[in-house]
Amino acid sequence: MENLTIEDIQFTDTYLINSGIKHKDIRIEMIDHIACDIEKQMEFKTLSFYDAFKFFMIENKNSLVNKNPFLKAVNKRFFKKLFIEMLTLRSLVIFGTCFLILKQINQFELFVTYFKSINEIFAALFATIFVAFYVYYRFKLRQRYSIISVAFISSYVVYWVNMVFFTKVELHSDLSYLYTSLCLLFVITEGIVLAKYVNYYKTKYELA
Amino acid sequence: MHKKIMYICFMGNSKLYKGSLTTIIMKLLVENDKMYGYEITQKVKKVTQGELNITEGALYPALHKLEADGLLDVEVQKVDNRLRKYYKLTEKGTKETANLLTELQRYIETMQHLVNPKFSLE
Repeated sequence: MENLTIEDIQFTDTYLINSGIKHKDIRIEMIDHIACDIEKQMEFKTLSFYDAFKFFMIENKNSLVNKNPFLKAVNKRFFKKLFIEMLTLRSLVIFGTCFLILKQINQFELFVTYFKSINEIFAALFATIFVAFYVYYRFKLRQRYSIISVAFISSYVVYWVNMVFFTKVELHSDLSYLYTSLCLLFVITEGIVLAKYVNYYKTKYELA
Repeated sequence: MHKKIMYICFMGNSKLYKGSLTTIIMKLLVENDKMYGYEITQKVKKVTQGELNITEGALYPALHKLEADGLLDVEVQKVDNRLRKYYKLTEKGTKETANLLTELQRYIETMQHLVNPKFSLE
């Protein structure tokens, strides 16, 4: 059986990127699936690569570029892992520490001078954690991966939910400290899960 | 005789097969140690003589879910100028396959009693 050349694989990869499939982990499987089918068609129907590619796409493009089933599976996988991580003893310690720090923070003149409210403190902490993990991710990985994108989008959603919620609760109350601690725990746990996935993708995909 | 091909993802009767998709995948992995996506679709097609056709839209999410549940492990290898993702059963996956196959067998027997009672009495 004739195998596809590096140029053929590159052509397929570029085609998928241009069709909106930006995540490498999803593209790897799609490329192999398409390549296997094209190689089979080239052998049995004695077609050229471009003809076999064209026929494959006419028949399968719609189901292939429909990323919903893939992203649905990725979302489920990420949030399941996040939920499990949030129920550990470490999470309880992080939550308790965040709560105690936030409760005591007003006693420090530095914070009173620079931050006018608890949500400003949360925004500053969130931005620091978010940027730190983004730098870590960009530094460690060369490509975009689906789970990591899901993690960034969901933490951004949590940030805005928190910001909207804070206009409804009394600032510097126990409720606001509890809620902020929960949001911080969510973001820190996301960072921990993200770091695990960064290592997973690095070893499984980029060092393969 | 006209032979109707059933697509797990799109055709009307696919619901009957849909619930068994993970069992089908895991059963194949018990027999073949490690497999990649396209290989699974072709194997299913061959074994069922074209009766069952698993689309990529149904297969890959199912594989990802099994991996997330810790039932499958992944190995990425460079094959013929491209990367290939192989799936294999974990220890937990092997145990789970045995349970799923027993469950499926029981289901088939129950359905047999319901659909064809005469046959079951013989």
